[in-house]
Amino acid sequence: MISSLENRRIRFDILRIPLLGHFLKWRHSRTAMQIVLFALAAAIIIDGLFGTQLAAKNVATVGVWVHYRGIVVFALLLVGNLFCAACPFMLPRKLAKWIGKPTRRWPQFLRNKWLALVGLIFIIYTYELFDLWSSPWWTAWLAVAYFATAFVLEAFFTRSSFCMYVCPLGSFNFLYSTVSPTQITSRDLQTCRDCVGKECINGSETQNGCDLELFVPTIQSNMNCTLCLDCVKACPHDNVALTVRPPGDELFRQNWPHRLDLAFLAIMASSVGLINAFGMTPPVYRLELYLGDLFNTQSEAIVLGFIYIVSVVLAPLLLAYSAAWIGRTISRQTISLNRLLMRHAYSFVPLGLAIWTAHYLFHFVIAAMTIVPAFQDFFARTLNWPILGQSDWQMPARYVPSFTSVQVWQSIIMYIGLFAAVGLTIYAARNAHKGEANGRNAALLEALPWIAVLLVIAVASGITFLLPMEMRGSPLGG
Amino acid sequence: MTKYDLLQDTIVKRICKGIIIALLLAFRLQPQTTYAHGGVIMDGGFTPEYEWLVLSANSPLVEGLNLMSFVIYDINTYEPIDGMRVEVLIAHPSSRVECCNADEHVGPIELEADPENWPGDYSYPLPLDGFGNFQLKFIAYKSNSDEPAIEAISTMLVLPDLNNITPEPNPNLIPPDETGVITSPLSAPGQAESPLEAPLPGITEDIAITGTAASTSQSEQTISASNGSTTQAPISGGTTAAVATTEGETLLDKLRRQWILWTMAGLIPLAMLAFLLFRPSVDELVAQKEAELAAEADDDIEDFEEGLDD
Repeated sequence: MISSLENRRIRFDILRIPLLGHFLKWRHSRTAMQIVLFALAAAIIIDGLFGTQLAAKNVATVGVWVHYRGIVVFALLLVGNLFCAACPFMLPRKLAKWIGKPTRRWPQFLRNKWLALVGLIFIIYTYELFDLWSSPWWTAWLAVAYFATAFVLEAFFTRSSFCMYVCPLGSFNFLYSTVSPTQITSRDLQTCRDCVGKECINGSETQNGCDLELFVPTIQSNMNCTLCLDCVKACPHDNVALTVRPPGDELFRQNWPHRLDLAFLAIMASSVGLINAFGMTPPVYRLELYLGDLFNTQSEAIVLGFIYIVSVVLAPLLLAYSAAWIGRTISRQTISLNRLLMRHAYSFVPLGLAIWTAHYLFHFVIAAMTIVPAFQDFFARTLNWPILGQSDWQMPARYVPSFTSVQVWQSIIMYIGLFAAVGLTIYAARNAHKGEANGRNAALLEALPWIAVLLVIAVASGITFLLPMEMRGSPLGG
Repeated sequence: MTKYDLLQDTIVKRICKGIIIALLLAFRLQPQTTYAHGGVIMDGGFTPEYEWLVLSANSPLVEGLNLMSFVIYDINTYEPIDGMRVEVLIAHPSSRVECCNADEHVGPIELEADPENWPGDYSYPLPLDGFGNFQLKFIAYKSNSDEPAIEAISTMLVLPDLNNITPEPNPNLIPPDETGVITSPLSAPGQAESPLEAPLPGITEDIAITGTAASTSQSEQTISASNGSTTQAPISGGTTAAVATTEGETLLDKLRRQWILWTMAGLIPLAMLAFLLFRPSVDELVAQKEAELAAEADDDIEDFEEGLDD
């Protein structure tokens, strides 16, 4: 492919920005960023285990469930996969590799996103089941478990198997970084063609190559890119760029067309986003009571499990395959349903990101400044070292915007996500029928059921955001 | 074009129009004006025995009824504390007497507990009639004791309600059992862990205010600057509400309150400009697509494997 590719126009290379570029290309830049997040993770674990167990006052719960989630989605929208770039779970990796001296490769049948998708659903399910957002102690243990899993897998398997195939947070970031306005690319393909060492993937004596096995000149997508910039540092020709691109550009290019796992990830991530928001509203309580009576059980695990299986797995698949079947029938095609599913799964990416962003926006903006007194409390009470002074819990309320204005923003975000999704699905259908006689009509007919599905999800999300929500605890519009 | 195609075309166009109208209407749904429990943290603190939080279901606080929660936990075990009696005294911004005593200020208003569903949580819609910096004194007593276990004074900025709408639940919009719905605050370990056991209670009782209520007549209201100074400017009538907004909440306050949203709003034109600057030309897109289509997957794998071997 490299021989037939043409140079992409480098519109703007972030790595050429003075100071910032120098820092990013510095050999230890990732480690420096990881140390910062590692320190924050340490604070989360310490405060979660030994600090106040009032969730609203604890760095663990505020840091993870308010700030981490909020900042991650905004970073993905505005810059790129910044969390993976500075991932603290990968900091102990050298130690793990040194201890384990791994030689095994990750099993072939697991080299996909199925495991990560199951992990993502499982995390959201346990979050709901155990009220993780209200438990600093369990939140801290979740962070510990994440460190432990990453450490063990890094010790057993070569390359970055954990990031590539297991990490649910990473897969979430990979998926939605396809909307991000930045991407790694090569500056000049001829230089890559002439390159002997291919250090960007093979590494050199002093620098690792890409542990996720992405070969820079063939990178067409942010999928699986952690923005670790190892390729930048390894390239002896200074031929790797972190370029700016139109947001969501790659979704229109359909760069992962034969991956059913990625298609499912895109579709189910949006339904998980919806159910995660819905799970914090009053109607879910009534639904649980109803199902509890129906199944004659008081076990929330069973009832919630049923809701999740139906709403996160079965309903989206039913909707998606129905849309594919109807679209295929009315547009009189013979293509397989899976192929249609993969073609239109891209359109769930902007909609899903809109749902997550609108959801987290509220939590983030109504509690953004609580991190200050939470850290004051952490130092003063948990560590008994009041370097930030005594906590001022009256301060955060002064920075809370009106709920109505947040709701307006949520609506705007949902509109943008929905219109982008509808645009993508029409574009995908038109692209597939390009050159056909009466292809325009066939494309619209193929796209229509998908538009209906996207609309159903968007409207369901819109209604959910109008309901009072746990933790947000607001009478919207009231 | 055949007759069938023409018909198909018309149907498609009509469906598309219908979808667009549905899209436009979809989000014109009205929000449910229900009370929710918890929400924005207004204050917090601790004593040797207890840790507490004050939460508001509304933000910003607007004159009229505002559901406030006072949640209490054991500082050692972090178990929610039930069985206490919690009262609130409210000092109006115009009050010249130090907060708070029952003779001079509104209250005491007793907060209600619902230990079965919301352990450790004492809530009630408090009448904040007026605007400016209110002071609320929360006093918690152990059962069978007149000695306060917790005393906390919180200052809260209340804004005038320009629409003159009190945040009362609208029975037309809300099913009866959802009126006064309570959702748990972030700070509620152990609360509503199982919604199966947590029906939705309503707050339907009238507000009972005991003690001598301070005068809150609109014509006698005064406002104080948001910095807490004692500058007071008597105003009267609803026509001055707009003036009161600007005086009650300064521009700095407004900007500060909305800073995240303003920042985001500022990013939109920047993002649009960036998109215009960096978007690829149609020719470029076509050339790239053709190049990608022309490329063979086998070449890719070979190149990739070469890279690995090298």
